[in-house]
Amino acid sequence: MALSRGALYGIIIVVVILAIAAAYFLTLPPAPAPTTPVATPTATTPTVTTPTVTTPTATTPVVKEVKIGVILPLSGRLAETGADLKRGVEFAVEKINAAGGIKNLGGAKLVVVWGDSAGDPATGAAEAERLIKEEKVVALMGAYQSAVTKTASEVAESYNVPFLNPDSTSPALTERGYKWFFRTTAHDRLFATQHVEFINYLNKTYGGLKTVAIINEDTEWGASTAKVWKELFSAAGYKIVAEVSYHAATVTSLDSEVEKLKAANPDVLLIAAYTNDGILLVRTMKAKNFAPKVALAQDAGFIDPAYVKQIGKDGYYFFSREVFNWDLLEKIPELKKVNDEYSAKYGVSLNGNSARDYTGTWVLYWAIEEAAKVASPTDLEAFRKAIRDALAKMEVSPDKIIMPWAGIKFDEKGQNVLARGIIVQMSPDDGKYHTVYPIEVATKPIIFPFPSWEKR
Amino acid sequence: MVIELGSIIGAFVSGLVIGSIYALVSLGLAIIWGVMNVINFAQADFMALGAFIGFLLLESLGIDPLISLILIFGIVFSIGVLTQRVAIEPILKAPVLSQITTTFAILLIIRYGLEVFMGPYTRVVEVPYRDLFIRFGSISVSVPQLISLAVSLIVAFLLYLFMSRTFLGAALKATAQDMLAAQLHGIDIKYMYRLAFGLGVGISAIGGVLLSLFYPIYPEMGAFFCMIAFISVVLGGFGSIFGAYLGGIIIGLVETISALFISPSLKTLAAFVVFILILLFRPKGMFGR
Amino acid sequence: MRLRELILASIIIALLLILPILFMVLDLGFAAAALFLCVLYSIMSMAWNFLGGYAGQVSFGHAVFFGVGAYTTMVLLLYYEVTPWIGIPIGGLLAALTGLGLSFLFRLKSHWFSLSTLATVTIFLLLFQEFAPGRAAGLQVPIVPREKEFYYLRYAGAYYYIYLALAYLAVELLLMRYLVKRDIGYYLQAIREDEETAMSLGINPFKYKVLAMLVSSFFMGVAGGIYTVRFRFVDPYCVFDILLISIYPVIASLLGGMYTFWGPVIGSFVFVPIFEYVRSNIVTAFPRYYGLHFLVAGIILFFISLRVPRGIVGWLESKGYIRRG
Repeated sequence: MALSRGALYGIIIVVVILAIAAAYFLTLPPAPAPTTPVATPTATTPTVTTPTVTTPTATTPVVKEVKIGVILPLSGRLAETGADLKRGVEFAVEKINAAGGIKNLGGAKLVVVWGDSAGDPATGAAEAERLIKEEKVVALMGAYQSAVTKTASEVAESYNVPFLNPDSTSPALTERGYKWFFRTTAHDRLFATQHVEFINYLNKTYGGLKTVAIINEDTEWGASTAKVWKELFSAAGYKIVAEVSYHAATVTSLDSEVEKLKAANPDVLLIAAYTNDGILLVRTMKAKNFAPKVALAQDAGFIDPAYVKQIGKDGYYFFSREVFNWDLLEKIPELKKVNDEYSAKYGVSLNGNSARDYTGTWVLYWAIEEAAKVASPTDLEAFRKAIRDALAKMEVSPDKIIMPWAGIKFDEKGQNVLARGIIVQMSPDDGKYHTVYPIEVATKPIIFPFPSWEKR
Repeated sequence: MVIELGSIIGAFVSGLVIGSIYALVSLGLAIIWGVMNVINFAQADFMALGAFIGFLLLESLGIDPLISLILIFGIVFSIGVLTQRVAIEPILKAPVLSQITTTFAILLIIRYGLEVFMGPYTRVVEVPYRDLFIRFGSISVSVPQLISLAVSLIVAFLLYLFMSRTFLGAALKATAQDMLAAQLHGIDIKYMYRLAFGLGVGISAIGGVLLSLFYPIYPEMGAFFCMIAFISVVLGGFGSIFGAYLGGIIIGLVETISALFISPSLKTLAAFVVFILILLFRPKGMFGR
Repeated sequence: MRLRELILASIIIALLLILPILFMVLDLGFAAAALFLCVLYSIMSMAWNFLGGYAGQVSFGHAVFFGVGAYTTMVLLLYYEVTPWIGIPIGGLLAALTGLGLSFLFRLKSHWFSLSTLATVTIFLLLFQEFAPGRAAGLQVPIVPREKEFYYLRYAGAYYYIYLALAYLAVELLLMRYLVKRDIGYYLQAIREDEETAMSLGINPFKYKVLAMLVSSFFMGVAGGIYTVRFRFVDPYCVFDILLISIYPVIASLLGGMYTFWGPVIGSFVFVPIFEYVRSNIVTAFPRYYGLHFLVAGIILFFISLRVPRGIVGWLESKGYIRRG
């Protein structure tokens, strides 16, 4: 093959570039890991104490820290929620390390390496790869948005790394046949069943609820929530009169969407929205004077403290499914203690998001302690497997956790079957959410129907 | 499902309001295009720039964006002139590709410069009248939306006066119509170009400020408005500045009406379909030369 | 001369073949991921440049073909269990068909053409968001047992995919080299320079533009398919992305030199590492500065547009370091 002179020089250039690139790639440091100041107390690195706790293996090298990777939307439109979730994790890690770290590894510190999904599934997956390959974390946790959890956990599954999901609720996530994926929170099918129960209850008590409209954000979470709602509510005899979806990442107006809902005139409005779009929706509903008899949201944006702060009076009377509520403080003493410390440190109380991530961190920690009995992080593959096995076998009683659940136990799909939800309503008395359903745990009576906007 | 009259009127008003914003951005684009024959891909990002400057002025100095509107126009106008001198002038004689890529580069620099500077967060311009609205019957119109519609119309009118009554405006028109002839009459083309560009992006910035009164703003918002502006200009017809304005209003209406009757998620699609149809069957648009 | 060229060619090829294995052994995931992107974007840039650089039709709509290829491969795999070995070329064919379908846009000239191609990306995005399988939530390749990994092309990490991309790049380069060296190359350039004169010489512009479009869109679709198997997740926002899929190859081609043959490849190998480095190392460490990578891309594009419009290879040619090949 005769190459012209131009091609020859072209080839030389490519070789040079490749050589430079190779040298460059080989010497690239991994991305700096911005470990939070909370996780590693600056002054004292744990002194090398001879481990007296059970270590069946003979002379394992002493481990000073165990790294877990946490992927959250730290930038982008969900950044405030991400910051909230981060607080939950940080706080848990702080308490864990203060209590002696990972005791079965001689008090090794638990260290978090953060990954920023920027709210995008592809970025989340790239972060998962980075955390697994470059940072060599023993496990991953994340990622709030079901769409990001979907891709990030897929990467983890490919690399045989345990993935703990404390806060994504799309049912599809545990239907993939994964062996390394574990979810502590309940999922949307469970919640939707509870929603139907709740609306049935309202119907029985007050009557007049026949038609249902749905508005949802259109990624994995919102879409699967809407699907499940449609299925269960239709089966329960309600008529779905409108179904509207929008793209949360780019939406700037929900005018048309609310007009469409208003035109359908539903008795019940079901909402699956994140924070900014949730705020937008409520304000648009007010502007367009759209007030269905019942407005029921599906957690996420509606329980975010940023939402509560910004929405003010406009958020009154909205119901939401929740996983947790501050008024449970009276019911769960351990929770009150933790929340007091948390709010002293951060100035806000725990909410469904931060509490779930707090709990998730503890669950992962317990698994690491169990795993440390049979393996060491120095053998990464074995340790990750040990964590996975520990999670699969885990049984935690309800008094150990701050959530209103019956405990932690994962089924063969990785789903915590003891998780539950509650329904809360924002009260006009104090602008806070109060538990209203199930009636046994309610702290305030239900206010029905949703008063029209002018009458407030 | 019967659609109430109230909903239709509501959609009509929404369309008019958002259309008036589109109209301003398109107006600016049409001026630049008409006078310089340059497609400013960064047009919508100057809009975002205006919105954020307004936001910053409010946050730091407490000045309502409506009051600082003229100042913001001045700032963005100057930035526009600077951009024109640094980036556009050198490539005016270059092949079209260079123009395209240069304005695209400006798009990236403004949009992501804004993002790096302000952070990737969504902001809300908290003016006291933001949540006010007027109601007649079951129709409610938000006050900031009405204000922005009014201001948009005023700006268009002022521009009309400028173009038809002032010497500068006439010179601008002349340059747009026939550059050579204008030059022969002693008009300084370079000066006209700078004026056109500054004016074009300044008007777009005004649109951004108005928008921020009732929409949340974020640095990447230009991405959405960019294409809409082009569609409006094409609809209006190349060479017709006020055709572009009208085009913007029409596109706004097309969006909101189709959202009501078809589906909200497809409303943008409707606008794009209009675009392709025009390009194919009536590339002159409504009033084009 | 021949021997020297052959040796050099062999060195490059050897390097390209060894690096992935080297990276795998040394556990350099990031380097492998970056190399994969270099090769993938080379495919995309060469594809774009065939239409944009040679034929002079600057398209911003290439994400359409990428997305069609990506979705085709994914759907064939998920719903019909067709292996991507077949699925990727089929994706390319469907993309080429889409390109053929969009050829009516050639009626428009210069920036009108560019503008309308930009619009088509958004149109496809919206259509897929509403009507495609998976709609806005997207589609994901499931985990498969060990034996099926080859059939599904499902591997952890970027290592194997580099070879897949290299293979397609080689095919693309050979095909384009062949076409360019024949009359077609000259006809396209003639059309680019002055369409009317070309017509008067008996060249049918439309026919050759369509031909360029077919080749261009085919390889863009193939790139989409490769994307699908590597990332195992597609949704409308990832694949019909204007900046990352449509514009990125344009920047790379311009940087390398769009009026040259090797320009796009060289441009990709220079631009991708820079972009990835900024994105992965700086933006990740400081999420507050999200967007910096795009800003850097914009600055690079700015300077290329204004100062070095002929790109790296073009600059080298003008200085006489290499002769026009």
